[in-house]
Amino acid sequence: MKLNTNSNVYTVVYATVLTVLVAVLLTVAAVGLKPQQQANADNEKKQQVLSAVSSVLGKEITFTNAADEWSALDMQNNMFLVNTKGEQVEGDAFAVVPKAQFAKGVVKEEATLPVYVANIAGKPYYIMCMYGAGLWDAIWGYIAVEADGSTIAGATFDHKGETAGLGAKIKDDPEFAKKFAGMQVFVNGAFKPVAISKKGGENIVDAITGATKTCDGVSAMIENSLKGYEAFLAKLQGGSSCQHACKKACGGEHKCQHGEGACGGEHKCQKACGAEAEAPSCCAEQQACEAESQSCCGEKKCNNNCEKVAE
Amino acid sequence: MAAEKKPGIFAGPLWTNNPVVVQVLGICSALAVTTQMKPALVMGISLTCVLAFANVIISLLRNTIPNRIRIIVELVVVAALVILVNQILQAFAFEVSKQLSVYVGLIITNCILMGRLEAFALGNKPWPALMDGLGNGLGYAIILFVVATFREFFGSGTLFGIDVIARFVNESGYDGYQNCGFFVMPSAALIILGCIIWYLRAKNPDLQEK
Repeated sequence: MKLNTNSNVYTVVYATVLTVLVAVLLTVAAVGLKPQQQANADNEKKQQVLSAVSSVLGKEITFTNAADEWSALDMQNNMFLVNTKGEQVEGDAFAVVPKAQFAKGVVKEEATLPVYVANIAGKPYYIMCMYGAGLWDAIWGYIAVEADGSTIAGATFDHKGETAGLGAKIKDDPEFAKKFAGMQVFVNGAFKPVAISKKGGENIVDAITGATKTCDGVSAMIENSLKGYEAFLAKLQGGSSCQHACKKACGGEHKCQHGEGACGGEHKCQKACGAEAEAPSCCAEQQACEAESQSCCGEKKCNNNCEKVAE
Repeated sequence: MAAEKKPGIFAGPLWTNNPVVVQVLGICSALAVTTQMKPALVMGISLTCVLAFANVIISLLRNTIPNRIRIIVELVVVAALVILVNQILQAFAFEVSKQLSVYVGLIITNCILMGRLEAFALGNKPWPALMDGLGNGLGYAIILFVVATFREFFGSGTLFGIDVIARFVNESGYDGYQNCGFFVMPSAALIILGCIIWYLRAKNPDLQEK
């Protein structure tokens, strides 16, 4: 019997069978390959997170060595989530999808953002996620900040569909990401993260020729993403500026360092400093006291040249 | 069309019946992915694979496909192939799939695919269809590669991302090569393609319209 391949019934049956067959085939493939794909995606995330500190580590993080480096740094136990108020919240930091924490390019108010802490040579580096829009499609990345809460130690960028040879250089040209090391998130205490521009200048990274739009996107992404971390970074900074003040004014070296719980803010620093360093030694450095009068010794003491010590 | 002419199903599309410069198919991606050699090469190889497979499958199905929905059937086959290839790459060759991701969509929409399926696979047996797929895919890949070589060399002074001009000139004491932004733009690809077509037609009077 010869089939009439032009009949309506044949056409409908053919289309149905073909669709079902293809659907089944693709479903089987997608479900069957899912675990392997997820493992790859996780590994890639580890690679990207660690790439932000690759220059600190002094080696390139590749897809192959990412998992080893990850466990070497014990990253699995050194991550947490922060909310936009800078408070630590419960949750699995690694499972958080950066994209889901952003709405219209800015961090959602109720977002929980991951912070990965890489302890390298005794110093902590706080690695934070970024997400934004390039010229064509999504761009994202990770940025590492030193313990002072402002100095950038490194960054890494990736993109979905920027032009090869132009915008794609944010990922492909290793020199671009390297330029971010040493830049600042805060300038004179105000939130003013590193920008990208053709013009150059203070706290500005040179733009990539022919990729102005992508660079604008990266610039906006850094600002918008770090905005979500601003409170967290300010807390880190509170710690370190306190440490600075105490060192200068009191000679009390270690008491106020961040991480020991002594230095949540200025007030605590005062207490810790006062308790640690006796008033005379505190005011021995009179000049320093004048400059930092608020932070440690108290106005009166310094103005009186340390002669009167209250309490 | 010139499709039935000599010299052969496989060798023809490589040059005298090239899909890009003679059939003028797949121009869009020839402009888009030729700024650098690496993506151009990857695109050429992936298109060759997909085209060869799709050609064979459609050729096997050719007597059963209802004429009125044949284009949709072709599309389904091509789309399924591309998705399948992408899924497998993501699982077992993750880094390659990352490079390809942008171009997978371009493979589906490539005019050469539908063009060859319509013009050849629907009317020929699987073996010639395979040869036709390979030939056209490679013909496309060759043109992409040539265009990308010019564009990357003059546009960025590199080949496969390796600095060639700048290093050479620097060693002899001159300043580095100034990159030519024009070659990075798609219009440069069009001009290079035009030059190739010009050369090809000058060499092969058969191709010239009377």
